Amino acid sequence: MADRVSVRALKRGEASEWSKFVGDIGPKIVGYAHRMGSRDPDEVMGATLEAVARRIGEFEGGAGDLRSFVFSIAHARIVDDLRRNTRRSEVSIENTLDLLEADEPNEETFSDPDLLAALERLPKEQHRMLELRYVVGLSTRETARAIGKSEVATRVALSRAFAKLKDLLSEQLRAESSEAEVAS
Amino acid sequence: MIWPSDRRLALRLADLRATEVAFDVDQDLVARLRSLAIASSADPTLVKGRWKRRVGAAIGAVGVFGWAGAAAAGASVGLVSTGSLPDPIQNVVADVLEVVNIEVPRPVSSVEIVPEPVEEVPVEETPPAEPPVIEPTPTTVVEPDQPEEEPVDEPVEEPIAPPTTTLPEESDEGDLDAEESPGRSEEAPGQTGATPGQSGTTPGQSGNTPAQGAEPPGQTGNTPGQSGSAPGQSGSNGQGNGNSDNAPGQSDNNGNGNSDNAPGQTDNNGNGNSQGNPNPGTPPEQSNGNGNGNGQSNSQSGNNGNGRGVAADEVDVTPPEAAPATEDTPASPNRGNNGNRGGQSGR
Repeated sequence: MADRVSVRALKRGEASEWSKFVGDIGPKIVGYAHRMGSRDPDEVMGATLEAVARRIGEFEGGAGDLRSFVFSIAHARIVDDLRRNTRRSEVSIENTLDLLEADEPNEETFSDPDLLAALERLPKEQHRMLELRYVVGLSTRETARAIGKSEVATRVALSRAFAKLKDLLSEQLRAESSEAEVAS
Repeated sequence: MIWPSDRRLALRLADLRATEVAFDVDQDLVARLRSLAIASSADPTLVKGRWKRRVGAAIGAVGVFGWAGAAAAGASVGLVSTGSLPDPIQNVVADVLEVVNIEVPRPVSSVEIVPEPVEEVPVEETPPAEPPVIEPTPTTVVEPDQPEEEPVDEPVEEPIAPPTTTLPEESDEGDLDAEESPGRSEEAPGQTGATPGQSGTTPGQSGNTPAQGAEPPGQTGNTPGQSGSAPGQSGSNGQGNGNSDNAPGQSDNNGNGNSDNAPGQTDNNGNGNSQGNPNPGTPPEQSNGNGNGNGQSNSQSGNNGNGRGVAADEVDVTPPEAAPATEDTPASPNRGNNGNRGGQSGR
């Protein structure tokens, strides 16, 4: 857990603290980047941790604040990665195969494809907030800091995003049931 | 159809976390992050953003006792600079700070008052001028009922009566006058020494003395004083005369002082002379004669001498009636009154 990480120890550059921090926050960054559509989550994770290490000296706060800080950086890296991938119109098949064969999480590995499909249909902002709040596990306050909004606005936005996700899932269920009735 | 509840949907979202793949921590990545973190913490540009914490740390480093001591020191410096500390402490602090050339006000009580040296002006002794010898003339007679304020301005052509004769009547009136003027009062020992009876005789003489006024007043004053006292001390005469409280020895000074005075101040001289008389050693006759003659001649034109004679009134010599009989002097009581004025002018 990031709560057990000492920010002072990280600032002093203690190897043990940094190992614990990377082992705890790294997978979350990779999964978050993958769910957000990044093509190279490891690269996003590495770039995010390096950015955190460069700015750890000016960071003020506790472990919770550090998580918000990390995911705000990760989000910026993910956005950069998505823009690069968008510009890249041509993707070689070999690279795509390598990505599929890797141990990194992908859509196939997720156990709830309906939920992932519903999340993909949400606006990017709502998708991001739901990821940070319910998947990564940040608090509402930490989520607000990570996305750069007020806590009240974040709470309202989360409520709307959650209701929208429910509607999407209901529509999927309704569509599936209607198809089942037609098929029967 | 089962609609997803909020709780169930939240759990489904949380289950997505389990799909995250754990990976082995790359030590190269950790080493690189460590070096980046150390470099970031040591960045001097970050110090600017921490000025609040640094100021707070500096204030805290001084500590409560440090600030209290500084406040006490400041307060003590303020008190010392204004001289508000108690005198002993202020003295000590002033002594200590004086070593480092810092002047601090000392308490007023400890300031040493150095008397300024008084320059002694050498007194030029002038030879006493001999009073002109004027023979007493009994022609001028003043009525006893006549008020004191009326001075006898008439030219004194009358001869001065011999000082030896004293009239009791004059002495009585002279006593009353003496009460009015402190210099002549009986309290002055010198005056008491002077034979009042003699003054009784002198009134007539004093009337004569105006003619002596032509003489330098200082000289006239000197002569009587010298008889009674040491001439060197005569510088303070005018005052000595007025002060009836002076001891007989002080009366000696009076005569001398008169000699120093300017001619306009000769009034004082006459007074001094009268006090010179008190010396018991001197015969009352002589003393009276001197004092009266000088003082009166300068200021009040002969009236002064009478006053001195009044001082001598204390001595009961003869009944009033005997005075005119014995001497040619006119009404002695009146002259006695005049003598009182002479004493006042001396003051």
